[in-house]
Amino acid sequence: MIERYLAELRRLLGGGPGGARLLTEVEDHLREAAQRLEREGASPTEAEGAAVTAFGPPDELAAQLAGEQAATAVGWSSRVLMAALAGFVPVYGFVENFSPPAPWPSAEATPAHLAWKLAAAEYLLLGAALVGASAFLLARGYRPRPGGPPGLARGLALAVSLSALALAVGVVVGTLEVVQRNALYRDLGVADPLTPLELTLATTWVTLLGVSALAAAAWSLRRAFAARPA
Amino acid sequence: MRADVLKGHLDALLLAVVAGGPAHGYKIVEDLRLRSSGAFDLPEGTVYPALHRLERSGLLASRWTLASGRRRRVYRVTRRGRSTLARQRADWARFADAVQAVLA
Repeated sequence: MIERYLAELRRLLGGGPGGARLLTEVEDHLREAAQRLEREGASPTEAEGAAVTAFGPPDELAAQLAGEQAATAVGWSSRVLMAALAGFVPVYGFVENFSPPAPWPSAEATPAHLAWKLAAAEYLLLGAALVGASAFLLARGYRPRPGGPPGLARGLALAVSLSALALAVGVVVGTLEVVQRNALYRDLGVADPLTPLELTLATTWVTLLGVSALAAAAWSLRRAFAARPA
Repeated sequence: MRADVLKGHLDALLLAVVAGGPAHGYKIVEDLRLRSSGAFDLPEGTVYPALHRLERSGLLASRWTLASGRRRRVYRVTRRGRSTLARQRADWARFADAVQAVLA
């Protein structure tokens, strides 16, 4: 009976280290409970049945654990997102400080194919920062109600994912703008544009930030939507 | 006592039980039942997600041991867990006094 209970719980939990650990703890608990009941006079079958009954339904336990894991995933992914956004600041500072002044007379005279990319990148990153910071603050105070609906975890995971997506797209558009602007500077003979090494370092760094934020967001989405109310 | 009545207090109760000394899940459930004279007889499985949550919050720590040939996770209260428990005890005492004053 204990084996059947564990098999059902294993099926409900799926993979993952949290599930494996819980299964080991549950098995230890059930076997100790059954041994005690046997010492008190129950038959092995009765003891196992009583131990399993006292433990509670496996679907309820799996739902509670999934809720906890969703909350943890949302918390961590929002932290990764904030770290990625913070990591973007020095790159922005580096590019702006090391790029030579624009050769055109005013910001309004910026070539159109660069201007829209710059504006889009700024709006996307601003949006990512606002949504991400809100999700981060909400996730800090979020405690799932045992067995309750995972709606807030899902909402937070979606907010983190939206913000990570905005960050990633902002990074792509922003990088494209910097690379094209640098190439234009070279064509126009502007002194000391960014070197290929500087561009590669900056691009690699922001790509890592974007990929990390997206990966963490995908993980939290998966956890949040795997959670089911008990 | 119904399990849902306990839900808001389960974390503090578990911290209080584990503060008595390192213990594994089964012992924690047993201690909870004994110390409440059987009043807190909740589905035993519900303590595990709560224990995991308390550990992730840094209020409990745990490690694997071996007992009767089985792997066993033993929990202990961290320093942060002790200060949280002290705060929760004080909050509860104030709350209980206030309720008693109204109901008496």
